[in-house]
Amino acid sequence: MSARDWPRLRRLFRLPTTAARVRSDVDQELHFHIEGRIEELMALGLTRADAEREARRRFGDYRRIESEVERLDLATHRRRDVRERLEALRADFAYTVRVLSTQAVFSSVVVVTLTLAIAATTSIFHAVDRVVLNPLPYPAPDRIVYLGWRWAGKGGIADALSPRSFSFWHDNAQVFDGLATVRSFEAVLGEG
Amino acid sequence: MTPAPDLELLRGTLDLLVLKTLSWAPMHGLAVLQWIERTTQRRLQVEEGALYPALHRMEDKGWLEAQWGHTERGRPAKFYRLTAAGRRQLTRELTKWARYSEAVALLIDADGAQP
Repeated sequence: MSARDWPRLRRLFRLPTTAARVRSDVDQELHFHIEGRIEELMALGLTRADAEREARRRFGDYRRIESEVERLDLATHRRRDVRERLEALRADFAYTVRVLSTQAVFSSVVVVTLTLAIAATTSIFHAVDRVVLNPLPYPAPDRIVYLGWRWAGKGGIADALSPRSFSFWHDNAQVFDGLATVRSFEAVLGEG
Repeated sequence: MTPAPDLELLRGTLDLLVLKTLSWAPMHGLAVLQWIERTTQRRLQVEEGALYPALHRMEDKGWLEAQWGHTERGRPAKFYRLTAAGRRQLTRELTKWARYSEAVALLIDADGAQP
């Protein structure tokens, strides 16, 4: 296998193209050009030194051209790598969807199992979180209760509480150490 | 020796020359330049180095495809081939060039300023 098979191998294994590799490719390409010109000029009767000088003069600013070509190549490779990765991702996703859709029963079992598992995990974690990991940041959090009131037979706890009701509860309730009100509101954080 | 090239290359025509040249066969950079020189009878001044940024830019745009190969004399060289997109671009460039030279010809052939 020759060194020139590398690009193909690289594509196979999806290794990123290195800057050094790009540089040596560009160098080799430009040198091939200048070397070819030198031979042409020597065939016309110039000495090697004269031919080389003339070939370089005709070529122009080597450093500038070299770095411009390198920059272009690196951009090309980067874009190609990103594109290949995106294509692979899309192919994987399409394959998954295709396989799942051809086996509808199996897929729904998978989806239901996942749903139940995630729901169960979430609820259990929520409870453990409140009770064990992060209890309310007050002394004796297990003695704190939420107080509300409901219309007979209507269901649901009413959130609204008039100041008079509160002061009545506050002054007359005897089973609590203390009473306080809570007020919640919605706010948009960030832009939009 | 052949006469020195006396026509400076118009901006933007290098792409057209390269695409047209590569429409005949895949070639390496030096061969593209030699082909341009031969067919235009060395009348155009092409800064040789400028050819390479042009080739790589067109590769980046997907008009050309590059691959390392070997010359007839067994030397490794980078060969460029026109892609389908490159062929479409060539058609566009040819149309643009034809319209451009037509417009210039109209002005040159005009019979003096109209009142």
